[in-house]
Amino acid sequence: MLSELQRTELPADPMLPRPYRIQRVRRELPGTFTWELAPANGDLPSSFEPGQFNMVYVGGIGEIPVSISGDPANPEKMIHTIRAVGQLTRAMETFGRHTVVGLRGPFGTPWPVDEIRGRDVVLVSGGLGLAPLRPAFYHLLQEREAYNRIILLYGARDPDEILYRDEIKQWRRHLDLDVEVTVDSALGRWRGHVGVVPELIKRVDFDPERTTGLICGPEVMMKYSAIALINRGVAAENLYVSMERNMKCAVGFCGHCQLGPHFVCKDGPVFRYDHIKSAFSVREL
Amino acid sequence: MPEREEQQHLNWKEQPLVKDLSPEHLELLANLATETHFEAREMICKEGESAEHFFLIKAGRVVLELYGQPKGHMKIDTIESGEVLGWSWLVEPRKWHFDAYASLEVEAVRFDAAKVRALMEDDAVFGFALMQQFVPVIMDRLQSTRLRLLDMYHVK
Repeated sequence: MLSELQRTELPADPMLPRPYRIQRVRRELPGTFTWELAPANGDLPSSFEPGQFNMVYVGGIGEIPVSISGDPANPEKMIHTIRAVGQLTRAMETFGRHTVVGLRGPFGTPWPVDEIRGRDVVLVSGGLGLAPLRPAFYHLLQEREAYNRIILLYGARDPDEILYRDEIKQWRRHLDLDVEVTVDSALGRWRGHVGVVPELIKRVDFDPERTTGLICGPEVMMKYSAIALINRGVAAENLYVSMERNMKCAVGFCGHCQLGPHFVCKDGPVFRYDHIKSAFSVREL
Repeated sequence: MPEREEQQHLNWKEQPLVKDLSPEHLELLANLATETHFEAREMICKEGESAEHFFLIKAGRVVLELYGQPKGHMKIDTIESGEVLGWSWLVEPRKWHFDAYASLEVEAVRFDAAKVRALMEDDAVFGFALMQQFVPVIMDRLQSTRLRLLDMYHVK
């Protein structure tokens, strides 16, 4: 999992941000942007595992958790895709190259990419949920021979809101991958699937008994995707979801991200579905 | 992002819609089935027209469209291999509720709706068995519509 780069130990104090400089900004969609970051002080970058997140700190404004969406084999580029929805992220959207921000992390549990070698892997994502899954997909691509079928299913609101569009086009050219995209509705020249992403699960070919599902997106999408996979015969213990809550300390001290008996920052964000599925049906949790 | 054109020809008698029918009921239905083909972009049915057929899609993709201003033609669903197109023939006034056309080249089995309905009325066991196959299809489409009502990818 780790690159040949030497793993850099986290700062002794996990509450202490390290300075990172924005190397590149990419506008993905209206209100959604991607930062490529590198350590500002010449340090080696922190290695990470797919599914982990960083706390991104902007002096004088605040700090938010953001999933890492880059390639774990290439940690010198720390990649974060962010949607501008609040005061902090709207400010972040205005930042250009060379701006320095603080990063704490990486934190949290990863997608179990090593434990599932030899299996069929169905990655189900929706909206911005492709960002936390992308590192796992990169890993599967690099270790392609270690897995059986690899299927990526992605849902977006409409064709103009497809995240990483150019990259998805490239992935679809691979003959040893199944990459399917659906949209909730479409105008114009769209010729692909129309419908919600759980419907795609019925349409793709995999062996349920040797399949692991990795699911990331809005909770309602994850819930119905998990149900669709289970209806196809995939065991609940072979499904993993990435939960999102209001992480603050990121090390399990503060309790802001508590979800039932779990701290999402420390016990998650990636959970085995059967360990967390009761939370999907508890209102206001 | 054009879709890869994969043609997978299926034995329609093994498809989910009909696979649980008894051999006798399947034979009744088979007598009313016609293999059919639509070129890409070919219209299959139009909103408001009499729903005289329903289709089991063997290969390809059918797009369902609604038309209304100010949006114009909006694609609302796709029907694909192994899935059924059409239940308007079951319910008065038996008119299509949307336009449907082949997005990719389509191989399908077409059923004569009036004759199937007559069989269902004559043979209540067959009628109930076929309805049991159609209700899950209707439920799936309703659930898909409900999920889209949530507009789950929209963040304010």
